[in-house]
Amino acid sequence: MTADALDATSALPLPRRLPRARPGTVVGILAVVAAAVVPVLLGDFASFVGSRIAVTAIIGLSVTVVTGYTGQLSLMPYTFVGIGTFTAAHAVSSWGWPFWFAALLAAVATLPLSVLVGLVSVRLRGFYLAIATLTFASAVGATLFTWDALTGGQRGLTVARPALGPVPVASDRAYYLLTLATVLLIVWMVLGLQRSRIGRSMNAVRENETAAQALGVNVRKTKLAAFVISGMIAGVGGVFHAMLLQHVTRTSFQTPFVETLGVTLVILVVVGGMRSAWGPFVGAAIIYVQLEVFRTALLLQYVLAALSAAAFIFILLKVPGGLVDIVRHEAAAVRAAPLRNGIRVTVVLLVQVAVFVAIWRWSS
Amino acid sequence: MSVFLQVAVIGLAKSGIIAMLAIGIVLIYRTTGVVNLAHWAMGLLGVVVYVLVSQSTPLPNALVAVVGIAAAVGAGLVSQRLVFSRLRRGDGVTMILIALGVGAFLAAVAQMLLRGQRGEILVEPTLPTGQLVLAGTVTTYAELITIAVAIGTAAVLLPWLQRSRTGRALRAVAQNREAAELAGIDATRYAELAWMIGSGLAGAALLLLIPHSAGERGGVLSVVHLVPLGSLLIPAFGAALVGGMISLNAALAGSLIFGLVQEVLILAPAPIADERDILAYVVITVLLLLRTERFFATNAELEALRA
Amino acid sequence: MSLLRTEGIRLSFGGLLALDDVDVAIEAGEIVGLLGPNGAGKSTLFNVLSGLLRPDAGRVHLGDQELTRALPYERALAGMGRTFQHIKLFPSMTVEENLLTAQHRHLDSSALAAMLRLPSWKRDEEEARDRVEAVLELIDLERYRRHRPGELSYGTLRFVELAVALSLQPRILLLDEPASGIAQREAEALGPLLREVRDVLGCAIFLIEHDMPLLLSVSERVYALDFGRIIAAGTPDEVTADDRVLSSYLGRTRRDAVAAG
Repeated sequence: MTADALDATSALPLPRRLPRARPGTVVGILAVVAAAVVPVLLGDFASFVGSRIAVTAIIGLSVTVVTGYTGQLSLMPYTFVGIGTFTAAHAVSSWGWPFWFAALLAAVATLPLSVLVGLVSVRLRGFYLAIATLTFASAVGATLFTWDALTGGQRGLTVARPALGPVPVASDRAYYLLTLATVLLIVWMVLGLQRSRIGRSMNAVRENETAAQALGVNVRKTKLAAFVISGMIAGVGGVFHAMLLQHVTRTSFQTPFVETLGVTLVILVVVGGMRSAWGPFVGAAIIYVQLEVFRTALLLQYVLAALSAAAFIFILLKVPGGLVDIVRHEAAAVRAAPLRNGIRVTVVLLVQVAVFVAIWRWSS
Repeated sequence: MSVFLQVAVIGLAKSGIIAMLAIGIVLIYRTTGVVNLAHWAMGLLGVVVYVLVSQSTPLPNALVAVVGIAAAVGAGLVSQRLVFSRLRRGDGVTMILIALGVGAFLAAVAQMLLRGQRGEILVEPTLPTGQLVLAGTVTTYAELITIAVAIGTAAVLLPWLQRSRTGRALRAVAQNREAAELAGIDATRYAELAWMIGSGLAGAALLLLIPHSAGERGGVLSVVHLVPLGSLLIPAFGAALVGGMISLNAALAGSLIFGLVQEVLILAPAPIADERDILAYVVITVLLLLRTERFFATNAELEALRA
Repeated sequence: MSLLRTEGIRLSFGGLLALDDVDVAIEAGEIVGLLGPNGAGKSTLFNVLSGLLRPDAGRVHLGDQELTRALPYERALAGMGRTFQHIKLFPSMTVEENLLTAQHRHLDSSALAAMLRLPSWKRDEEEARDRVEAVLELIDLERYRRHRPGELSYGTLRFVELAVALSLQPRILLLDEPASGIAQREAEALGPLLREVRDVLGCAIFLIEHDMPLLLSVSERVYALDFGRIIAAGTPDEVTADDRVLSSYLGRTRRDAVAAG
């Protein structure tokens, strides 16, 4: 195969070209501005939904690091979220800690468990690890989360949204802007992680442990690092989760809901794109916007749940990069042949919007 | 003594349900290499069909139960045909993720079929209701029938898998797919058969489980049952792990640990009785760390399962 | 003192003695060949050297470090690079990212530094990219920088794998059949390339290769292995003239070879 032939094929699957194209940056900035402005303009409820998406995206990033990057299947993200949630609830409400200290404490509080699971992951692979994490989720739900002093028993705990120094974030709009800023910060951090020796080691461990070792990658340390970082992200997600709801009970972190939430989160992350730091955000946005739009139509919710599970299976079988990859691919196609592909993509998008609106009108 | 017997009967009934789930998990794993985390949802679909049919037709409940089990069998067959047969073997993480996806899909379909009825759903009794006193111990018909069905299933299925032509073919497919195909065994068909048997057992297990939740009134399908991983899937995997996901006999022994032993420990001194669930989780973790499969299969067989 | 030394390596699988009292010594900057018929234990020896197999007896030294008990990654960090008989690259990464992964040994900035884009991370990344660029240039792979392994021909992948191992900047490079499965023209280019690699990077090379002309032309010294034992060592000319080597390649049994020798 000649070099020219190779270059021609490479235009198709869109490997990340080095100098980021200008239009992409512009679109990205516009998207962020739109994400910040639109829900705030739409009102308190839209801002609440926006916060929910942002919080889910933070928690989803914990799955991205450990499963998407490192290839270790953990089904217990919400166990770490629970630890973060109850820690933050006490730190803020009972002890009056400032917001960021509480977040830091919540991240640190996940350490003992994440180190334990990390060590287990060194010994167990594939489904053994998956079942071990399911078991841990149940076990923590039956021990730590039944401890009334931590979780407030049946009544649960009330968590106020504290002020950030002089800036109050009690309103849904202000809280949305805070969570959006936080998720963007964490996405930025995870992007940095991916472009570092640790991120590359994680990818190497996922793809071939033997080859990774031959290149000097300490597999044990890498897995441990993945679980620790993932646990801390989920812990921080727990803080924002607590303050989003302002009242948390232990039930959702106990068997069988904690495992179910874990499964739902993995689905959302994979649909968005498991190997990209943007994946959880995309997946959470798609799923929660639909759930909220069709909130009144109970049956449609289950149809949506079935559809997203089907999309999840399809993506795993056919497009492992998820929606993020599909968008990148289409963007490249449009750039390559603006007229033809531009029309095609526009038509497909319009049809999707039309279907969405039609279902919405029909359901309400 | 009668307290012990009473607890033992409850434990045995639980063991029976776990055993039926565990046999299906083992059968599907060793024939196709898929760790079926959707196992609960296959059975759930059977129960939901049972609920719908029994609500809308005057058919006898036993017959409706057969329809429910058939629905679970269908769910297993369709999942294998449409999804699992398309999977490249060896990509463990994708395989488990897909099983989870299938579970979530089936659970959503089950909810859809129930038209989003929320909270607790009253289920027509699958088994005769009522209590009886046996050797000075109060038990229910449901418990005794559950135990009898589980023992009967094991007594029929295990020797059949061991001795019959079909059973031997299933084992051959499990041990070496290529060699089995060269010997004229249609591996695809036997993989589907394993899924059908496993899923049917899951349907039967759930149909047996539901009556225990509401006694006299029949049964209650609560939200705990409607989630993709259900309430007994983790103990069922624990039981399967006792046999390294390979040995059916050891999986049966495992079912006794996670059903009978766990229930009987309620009579133990306080810390043990209170923390029975935790003990079970510790046992599962230890089983995982022990890599029990190496006691039941040679390295070559394990390679074949993973390859 | 030699760069890489083994003393009395012995390893058996079940009852089968795969390596029997193997002593090899490779000097810094030397190119040494390892020849022997199929099943002689060549790859087994490489796996012992790189830590994938643990010998029953014997020792492995690299420079002044004893590595007998070191884990594979520790040996890589100590400066031992290797390739595999069956190519092991990371399929979802580009060629450049594959090479960057091998830079691990030269980087030390923390995860936090990367997440916060601290100067230590930036410096690390720039240096890593420069070193990767130098290797890509040396092996002439710059145009494949952004390709993924699945898009490249098998022959090219062999060179990519070599480049990845070199990106580690090893003191010694173990190459397991680098010419297998590649076109004759590419195999002919491999010999001069290996010498150039040695001259530019100064690393020693220990080479398993079935392509005899390539092995004999590029190696300065050769070990011959048969039934897990070193049966001859010396210059390529000396080893190819050795009776036992000849007979092991003529397919005679070992007893005949011993009797003849």
